[in-house]
Amino acid sequence: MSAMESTTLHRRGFLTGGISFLGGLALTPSAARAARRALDSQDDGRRLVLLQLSGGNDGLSTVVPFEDDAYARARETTRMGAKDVLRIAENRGLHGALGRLKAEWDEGRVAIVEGVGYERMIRSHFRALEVWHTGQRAGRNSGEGWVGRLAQSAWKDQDHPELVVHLGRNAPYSVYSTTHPAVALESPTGYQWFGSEPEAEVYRMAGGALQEEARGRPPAARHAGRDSALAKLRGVLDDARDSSLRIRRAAASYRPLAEYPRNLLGATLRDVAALTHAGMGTRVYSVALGGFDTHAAQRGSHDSLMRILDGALGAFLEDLSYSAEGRETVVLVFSEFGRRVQENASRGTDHGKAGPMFLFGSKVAGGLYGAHPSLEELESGDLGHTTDFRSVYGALIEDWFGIPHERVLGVRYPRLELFG
Amino acid sequence: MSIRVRELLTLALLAPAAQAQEDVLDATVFEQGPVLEWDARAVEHLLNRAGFGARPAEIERWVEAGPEALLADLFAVREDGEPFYVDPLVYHGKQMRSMGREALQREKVRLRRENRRQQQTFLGHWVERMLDGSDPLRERMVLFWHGFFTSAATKVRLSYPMTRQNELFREHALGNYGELLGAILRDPAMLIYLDNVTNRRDHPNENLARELMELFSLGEGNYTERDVQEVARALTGYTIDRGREFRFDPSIHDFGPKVVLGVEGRHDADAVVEILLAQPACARWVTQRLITYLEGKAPDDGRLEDYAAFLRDNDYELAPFLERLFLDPAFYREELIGARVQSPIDYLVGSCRRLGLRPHPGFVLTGATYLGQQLFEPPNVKGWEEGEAWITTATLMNRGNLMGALLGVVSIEDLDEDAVLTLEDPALAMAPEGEEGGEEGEVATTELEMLAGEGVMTDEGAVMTGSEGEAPNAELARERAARSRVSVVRKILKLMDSTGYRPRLNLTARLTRRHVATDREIVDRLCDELLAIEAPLETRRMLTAFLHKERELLGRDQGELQAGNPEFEHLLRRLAHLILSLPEAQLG
Repeated sequence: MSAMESTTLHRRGFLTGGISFLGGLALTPSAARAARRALDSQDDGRRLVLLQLSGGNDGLSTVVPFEDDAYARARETTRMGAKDVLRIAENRGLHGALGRLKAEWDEGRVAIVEGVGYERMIRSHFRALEVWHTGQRAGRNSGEGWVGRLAQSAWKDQDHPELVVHLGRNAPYSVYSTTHPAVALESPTGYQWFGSEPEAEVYRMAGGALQEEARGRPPAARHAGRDSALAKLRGVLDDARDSSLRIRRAAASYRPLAEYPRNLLGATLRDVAALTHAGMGTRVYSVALGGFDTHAAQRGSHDSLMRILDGALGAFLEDLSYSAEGRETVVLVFSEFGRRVQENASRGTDHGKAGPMFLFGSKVAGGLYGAHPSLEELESGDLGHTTDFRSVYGALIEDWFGIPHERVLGVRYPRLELFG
Repeated sequence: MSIRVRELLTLALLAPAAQAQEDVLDATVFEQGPVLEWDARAVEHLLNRAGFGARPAEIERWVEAGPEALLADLFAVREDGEPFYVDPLVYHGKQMRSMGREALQREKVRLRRENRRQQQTFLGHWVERMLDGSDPLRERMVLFWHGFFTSAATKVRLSYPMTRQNELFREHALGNYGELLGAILRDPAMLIYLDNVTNRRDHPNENLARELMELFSLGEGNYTERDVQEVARALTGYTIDRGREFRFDPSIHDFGPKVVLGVEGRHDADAVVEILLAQPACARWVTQRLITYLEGKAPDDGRLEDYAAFLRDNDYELAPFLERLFLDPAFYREELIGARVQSPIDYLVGSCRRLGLRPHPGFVLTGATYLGQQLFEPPNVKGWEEGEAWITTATLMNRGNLMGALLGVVSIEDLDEDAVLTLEDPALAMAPEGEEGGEEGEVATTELEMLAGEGVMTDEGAVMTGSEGEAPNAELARERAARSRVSVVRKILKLMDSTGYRPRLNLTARLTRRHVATDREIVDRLCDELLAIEAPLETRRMLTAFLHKERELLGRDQGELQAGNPEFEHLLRRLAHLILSLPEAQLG
């Protein structure tokens, strides 16, 4: 059954009553309450926020091996010493701007997996992201995105539109699915049909309400194909109307309990928090922060990226810590590759290989995982990987969402115990 | 009329009912009756599927002229169809390597900009051909082949090979599938996209070989892993030169004996194509893809076998195949008409055509991208998933929003800004870019890998970055951040504003000319003109009620339709916006 067919079925339950074409509205208050309850009842689950650092984050400047001589030799302008970092372990310090995230670490709510990558890592942004987004070396040629496959395996019958939500510009391929397409919105405000109120009123009832009306007329064989296609699309229109209302209402009425920085990532994560607390049954959110492709004059731009990340993600984690929904949410931070160990002549770094991944959340067993790759024995100038990124996906799929991870990833990867 | 229809008639007369189960008999066709009912509905259906939708006046003309005349027009060879001229824009690694750092940076920026401009110009031409070119069937098939023999600009990196590939589709669109298959194995964009440029005798790459059989000719299950390996060997040495032209390199070609699908020989690409074409699975696969695309529904077994045999018997000539399909009464069966969800390109191009509006092609290109169909960027090697998959809650609403922009009934001032948007301070925000990046760190071990892996696109971050450790160009970052959190409709409105677009539309005049006056007549007429399908009664009733109410609010009596009255014109445009936003408008 396609997503759309099943959507129609599930939605039909809360459309009631007749309409009058001159004044009518589709949703009666009691139906609306029922709709809300139906959605609430689905919202008993755990959530995942995927935060992509686009461009290739310099892992060595994020989790810094600040006591390593090889590191000091390779990094002239991006080098950080003991006084520049926030020490989290022997020879490991977080970038100095990551104060709020360090506080999360101190509370034991951060798992850092070091040296993450995969066999024969790719240094092209586009193709590397394909690998991360599909969980397959063959990239897009292997099929749908890994979140799409997760939705297909874990929530096959949960067909409400907001199961997977991407907030931002282009939705990543990870959420690409032909059966469980993500709701992709640039901002909650834009997630609506724009028209003046008289048209909007008609638009709202052109879905299920009109379908009810159609039932009254004799079926015409002549239009069999059209009518069955229309019935499905009208279901989507109802979903769109309800979903748009829910999401805009949730974003507009949300009162965060933490102060978000006034920047793009802050505003986006604030919306994620708003939707998380709105009981919409969303399981996976996707957001991105760009600008990590620091080929030249890296220090300044990477420092400011770290400040943005720390401020926005720190506020988000604080905001989430006050609610049950929030405590059922984890945040996975990843990037398509790390940077080369040796700085280049432009005081930047070029595309490299392995890097760290971060998992944040109340239910996370904090600590360092995996192993930091050797800085002495490089793979042609790069950090080799010590943990496959799919082991981290695997932990999320299996220990967080409760399904065998090979159902999503195709094969089994070594186990990582990232949850307490 | 097709031979098959006559056969069916005979069978129906002679055969007892039980034999009607035989697979020569397509039950659906039989029930419909063998006669092609040539009416407005059939004309519109054909023009929806074979072209990009009908203009209002066209339909009546073709109903009168008859199916043969319309087909003759669709298949006519056009003299004005000159190929686009594109300056070869390529990047010579060696040449650039000798440049100084700054010169190199400048050159990369220039190439990147030029490359983008060239691609946008080319795609703009393509869209213009869809919008009002004289060869809609050819452009329809170019779009089909683009989704069949997929390549993506992001991987190919240079627009030049992509545009060349598009011209290849145009040349063979209605020609011979076998020839196109042979040509695609020499197509630089394809050779880059599926990594055949790194397919060498001592180190074969199976990517192209596998997709050649799985997606381009046979379909899964009709070949073995061994065949993939053997075909990969046959394709070694099919590569490109520095100018991104096809080159056969005998020094890396495997001249040894191979066995492909049971056929032994020292096969090369041409031999492989011949072997593939001889497989019954090949004709079946191509038939299945063509019919599913054009009918919007996979053919049943009987129909598939019938058409596959026809394709094979005609040596894979495409024109007779399509002609036969377009004259087949089964192509017009009730199950199909008005039952297909239009692709974003179909929806946008078709709506422009029906409205008679001609925006900048960027409206269609950018709009379709937002709706999930970026030309030159199919999502993966399988191409776009057609049909219902196009529609999500977000794309359904945004389709309507794009129509609001096109009709000029939604303006930037109308977009309500709530508290959420004002939260952001763009000055502090970073650009959310990073997907398109350079390959500066890529270590090219051979010239070939360099050509395959390296491109002109340097990353935006590096270009933006100023000297002495400053943060990225603040102004640019601000602007991009501001752009990045606004709605699709706002972006489209800005784009249209920058092109000086105004909807040249006079709906009142259009209707008065037709002596259309009452609310019901107006709704019927507009539904007829603006939709690619027949609107159901309940929809027309709903719209009539809307028009009635709004007209009374304007204090006008029914029938008081005056050309040039701005209030009424605006009301009609709002009505058109509503019509084009409905589920009904997604079908065609």
